[in-house]
Amino acid sequence: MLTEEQEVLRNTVKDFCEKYLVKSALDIERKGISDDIKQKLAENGFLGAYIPQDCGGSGLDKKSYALMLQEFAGYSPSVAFWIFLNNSIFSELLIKNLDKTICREILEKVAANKATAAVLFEDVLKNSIAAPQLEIDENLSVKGDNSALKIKGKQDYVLNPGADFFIAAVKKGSEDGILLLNKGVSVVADNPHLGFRGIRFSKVVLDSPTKDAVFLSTTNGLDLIRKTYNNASYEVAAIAIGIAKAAVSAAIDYAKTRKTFGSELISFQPIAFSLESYISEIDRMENDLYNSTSPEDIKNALRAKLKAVEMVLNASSLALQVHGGYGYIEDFKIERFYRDSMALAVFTGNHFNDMINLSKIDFGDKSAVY
Amino acid sequence: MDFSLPKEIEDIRKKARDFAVKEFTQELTLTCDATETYPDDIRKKAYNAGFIDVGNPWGMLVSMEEFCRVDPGVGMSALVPGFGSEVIMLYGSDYQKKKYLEPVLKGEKISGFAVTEPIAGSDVAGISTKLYKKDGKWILNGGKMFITNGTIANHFYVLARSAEPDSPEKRHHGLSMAIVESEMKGFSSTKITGKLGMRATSTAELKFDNIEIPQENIIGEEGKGFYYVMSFFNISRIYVAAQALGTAEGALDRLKAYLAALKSRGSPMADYESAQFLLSETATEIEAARMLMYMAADKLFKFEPDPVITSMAKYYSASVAAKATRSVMLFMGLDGIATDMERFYRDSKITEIWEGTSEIEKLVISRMLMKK
Repeated sequence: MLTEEQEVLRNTVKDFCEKYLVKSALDIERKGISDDIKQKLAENGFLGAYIPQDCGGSGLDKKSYALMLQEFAGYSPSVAFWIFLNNSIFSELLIKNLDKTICREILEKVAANKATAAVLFEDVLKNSIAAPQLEIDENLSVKGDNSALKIKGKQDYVLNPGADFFIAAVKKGSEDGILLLNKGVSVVADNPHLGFRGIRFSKVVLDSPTKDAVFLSTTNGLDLIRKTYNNASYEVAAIAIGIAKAAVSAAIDYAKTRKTFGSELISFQPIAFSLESYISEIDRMENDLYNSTSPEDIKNALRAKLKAVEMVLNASSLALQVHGGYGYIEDFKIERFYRDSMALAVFTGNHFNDMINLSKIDFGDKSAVY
Repeated sequence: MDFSLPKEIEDIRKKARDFAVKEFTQELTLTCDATETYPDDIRKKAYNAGFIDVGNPWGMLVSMEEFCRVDPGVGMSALVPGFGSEVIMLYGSDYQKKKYLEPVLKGEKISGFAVTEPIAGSDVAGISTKLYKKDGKWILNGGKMFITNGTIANHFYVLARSAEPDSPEKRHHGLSMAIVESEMKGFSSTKITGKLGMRATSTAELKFDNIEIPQENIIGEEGKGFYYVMSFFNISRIYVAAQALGTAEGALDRLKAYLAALKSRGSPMADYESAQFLLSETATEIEAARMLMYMAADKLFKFEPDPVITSMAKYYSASVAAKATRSVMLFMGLDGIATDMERFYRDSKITEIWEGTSEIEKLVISRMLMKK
């Protein structure tokens, strides 16, 4: 299923996680991913794993990159998602839409942890948003600097609001474009945080003029960002499988040691049967994912994502149930997996929209319209 | 067959709904969840408004439903300061009723019910806390885990082993219940933090280190503790079913409000058949859960408890709550994640665990059915 290089990569990631993440996983949830960990991720080439080598990244192929995310997700879904946002979303938008020289300058910094990045995704992932909420106010002149853009508006759901670089969809006249900016974003308040608590989640306003903003595209901004999310479905499936695998594995360990009514939990059929069915399902999904000859194929990736996300929601719920009260508290990683499973579903698209997209691919544009 | 509740109960339901909508403000519920703080002011207000009245179980039940519909964590916190009181009402002595139950019923004190242990959850008879006589006095040693009201209760109704069973098959023999005051020497409690949900409720680990228990604090007959606990579960499980039902109804309320908001924004999503099906399926399952729960409650409150129906109600309502909150979260997506819908999602899961896991409920159902 995996090449020799991929097996080596998997073991390298595992070793890294055992060394740096096992003990700090709870701290990451409480205090955020530390600079030290980000630095180590960068030094080992993980932070820019999918960024092309000529832009300062490791240049992994999609399959190897997904495998790496899967391993990270089993230890710290927050870390996996941090890498995912940097690589699958931010850098992909840059690479496909920006001049190579500027692109390289920015991505080298991101891959080396000398700068962090965020994509303002509210307009893309929220239901029924037809146009970007951020707007370029062309009527406002900026005192002393006519070349600066004045962007106004707010975004409610921003992961990593303290980033050095932001990508946002903006409304410019009747068009929606995509802007890369590095100033003018202020945090208004932090949001309740269902999942990926290692990454700050806030509301922001954009109300300052910025000279350094660059248009990645002046048209079809929302569609381009949506497409980038769809293109990342393969990686989302891998993260889901990683979380599910770790949750079920923890539940099996617990069921083998925890006794009730004089016997280990695993000796009771409903528990053994449920865990067994998830092992089979995870194995099958993992095989399908890594045996795929075309990880770039949107249809297959979207199918894999939908199934894997549904599976991880069920698997983390089962793992929590097996742990009973202990699964309910943060000291046991199951609590984290349970929250992060839903966060993964929500922060990478909308289940219903994904189903509509898939239906249209399979059955044509007239399908799933009512 | 009459499926309606008496007007006075429906009046309490409306009053409870109005109270919760007014008092469980967004700021309060957010703060209690974020800081894991017990809302003591709400408890007092709920008591003063007459909602905490174990003498009116139907009133308590519909209040639980309506409170949890607005916020499960704060709602549950407000209504369970007298947790375990039914054990004293059923099996306690006059002395115990006067000293421990009355102040709770007057809203002056808080009680807790302590059965679960670090190594014994579902397996009630597997507990290891010991209660034994030494020099004519009862001594309590051991500990309890995941105890509701653990850091705020003035006293606890504690299950402990007071005699070794004759055989492993009779492990449920030799268990007794004792009243333990939090001020007694040798008692300590540690708050459990970092819970997935129900973060407004107080949950703690209790330690008993050579606590001297007066004879008058032994509840009912020595050795009958297991039966008292099971009797209590027949009651408390119905309230958990109400908690679950309220949580599911809260998710449905949020889905309806969301669909209305989508419609007003001109989104076609509000009219999608998949959205309509989600609404219909969730509402149908809630109604089915409600019928089961009311049937269980009706039997119990007529002093004819049916453990099969009770376990069915608890198990089914919990699964409906977990499913409803998950489905609505998935549908709302990002629109749900920064609202209280995400809290409902986190809060719902506990209903499948506490007061008997869903697996235990299924075992109760099957075993009792095979005995019939």
